[in-house]
Amino acid sequence: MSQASALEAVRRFHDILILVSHEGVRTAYEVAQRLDMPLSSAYVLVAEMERLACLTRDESGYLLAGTRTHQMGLAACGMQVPAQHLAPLVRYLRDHTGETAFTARLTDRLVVGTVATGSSAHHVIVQAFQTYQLPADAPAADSGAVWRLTIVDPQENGASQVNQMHLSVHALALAHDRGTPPDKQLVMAVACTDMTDAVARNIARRLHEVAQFFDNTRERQQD
Amino acid sequence: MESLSRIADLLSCFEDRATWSVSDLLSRLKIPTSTGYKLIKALQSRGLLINASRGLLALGPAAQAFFYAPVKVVAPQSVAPQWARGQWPQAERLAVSRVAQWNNGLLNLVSTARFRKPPPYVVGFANASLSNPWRIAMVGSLVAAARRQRDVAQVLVRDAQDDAGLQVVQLQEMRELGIDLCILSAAASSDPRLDAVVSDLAAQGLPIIGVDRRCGGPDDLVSFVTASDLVIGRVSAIWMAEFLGGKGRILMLCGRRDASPCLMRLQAAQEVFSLHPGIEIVAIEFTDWQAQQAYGAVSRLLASGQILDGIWSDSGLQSIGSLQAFADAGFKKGTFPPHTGGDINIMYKTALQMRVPLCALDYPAAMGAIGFQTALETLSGRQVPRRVETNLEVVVSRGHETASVRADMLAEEKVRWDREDDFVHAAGWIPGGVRTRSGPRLP
Repeated sequence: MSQASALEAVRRFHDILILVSHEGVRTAYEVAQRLDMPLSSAYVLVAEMERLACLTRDESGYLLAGTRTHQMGLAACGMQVPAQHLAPLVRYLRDHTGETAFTARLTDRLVVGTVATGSSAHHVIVQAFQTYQLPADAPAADSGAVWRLTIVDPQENGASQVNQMHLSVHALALAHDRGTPPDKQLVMAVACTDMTDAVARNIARRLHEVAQFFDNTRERQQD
Repeated sequence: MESLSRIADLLSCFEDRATWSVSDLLSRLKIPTSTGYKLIKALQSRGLLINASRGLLALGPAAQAFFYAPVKVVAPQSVAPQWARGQWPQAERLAVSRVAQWNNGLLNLVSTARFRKPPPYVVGFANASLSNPWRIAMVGSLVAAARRQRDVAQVLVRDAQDDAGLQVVQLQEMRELGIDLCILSAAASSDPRLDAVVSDLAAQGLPIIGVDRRCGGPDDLVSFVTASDLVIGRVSAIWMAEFLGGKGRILMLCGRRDASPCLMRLQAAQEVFSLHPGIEIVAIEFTDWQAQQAYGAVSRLLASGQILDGIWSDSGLQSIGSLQAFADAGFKKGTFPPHTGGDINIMYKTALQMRVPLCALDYPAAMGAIGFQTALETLSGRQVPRRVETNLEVVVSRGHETASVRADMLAEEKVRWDREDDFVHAAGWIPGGVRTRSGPRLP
């Protein structure tokens, strides 16, 4: 293998993952068009990446980053969490609260990962990769406690439909970065625009539930 | 293509260890040194790997971005929230949640290292039947996924025609033909002969992936790919009860009495209806998911003078027969009672044309393809969830949402006027589509 062919293989692998993470594409033809590569190469690459679980498809046939890719992302963030756990927990939160639920990585910012869009009258649109700057007076995220953030503007412009409203986020840490300082956390969060006390209590209860499901499973698997 | 496999292996190595020296990494993966160095240099150039410290490699910022990649693509149609559509000037909260309980199987991961084997693979698909368009689409999605894979030498597909005895014979035949893995959609949920042969095959070390309908003991299946039948039954029943204001005479149209999805949906719906004393269940009819049988059942009830305020149906496959019966009984546009059940395009077309209040949760036929993906992961020795639930979307006709049941998508957005009547929604990517054998007719 030459250095040029190694670079080309990595470039195509990475470009395909970036593409499917940001756009709805279903066919090798669309991949070839978007990435300006031969159709035959796109066909083989997509099939191979599906085989490797680096790509998968949703119920409508759209290509998505696969379980293995998500696991790489979690590992890169320092989180020892099975990627397969996140979507069911997020969906449970959404289905029990009616509000938009998501995973996020919390550092000095909140960056959104897996999302289940809510169904309530108040639900907000939050998208993967969306980044929120935390307010200066943001409360510290205590381990095991649900905490509440009010966010006004996403830091980045991309796909922001919550620009003009206050977004109230209830979050609970599921895991910490395996590095020593626990300042980077994987959180489960529920967002809505108008949080009454009763709604907030329900959301907090559900967040604790999913944390319990998560912890119980981890304990069983460690046993 | 070996380079892609090596790239994935290189990046996956960091899942259980944050840093690696180059020599350890290449040694573990048995990658030739020269090739390995070139791939690592290329991965570093894209920020997928970085030099951490003292000659150690770590995953880089470009790999961190994979964490944020969506697990469900943003639908190309506008999925604007209700308030953005101006439909809910008075903000309301959900009264009842969509799910009643948590299923631990969703988080249980199964080690499949014992099933790992090198390709090529021969995969068997023991299918319960091809008796309706949904089942044909499900097989289509599975076969399309298999055809994309060079590692799959052959897929043996068998149709048991809803006969558990025939499926027993087919399973034994596939075993004799040397399949490496069996994907099973059970012809019956509790047939002793079928349960026995499934347990026997599992005990012999054959990995079995269940899809849609299950049978056998809890550990006989490596994984079971489905959608939440409890959510389908519960949400559609909540909608019906709330839409009728908590009182009315309801006919329940179910699928097959020996199929696990049917029984779970029915039980979940009955639990909801039992909370509404004003709801009267006129009859529970099993239709085998056939429009003609639903047509007969509804026609008989209407002919006997029964007043039906709502038709709860566990699938659109039979609901379409009910709509036909109401049309033939002289019901005009806008006078049909509310129905549940989607799945098939003609159901959405008809409901919208006849202005029928509708709530649907499409049971994804794409679970065939997702089952196949789970099969591939099993043969590759990767961990798989004990239970895989595909996504369900709640679809409601415009103006017919209730306090607890809001649409993820309106029926007006869901319908495909450009597609054939028997087009099955949520069937994944099937190049060229799937032609089903017979399409129900429009009222």
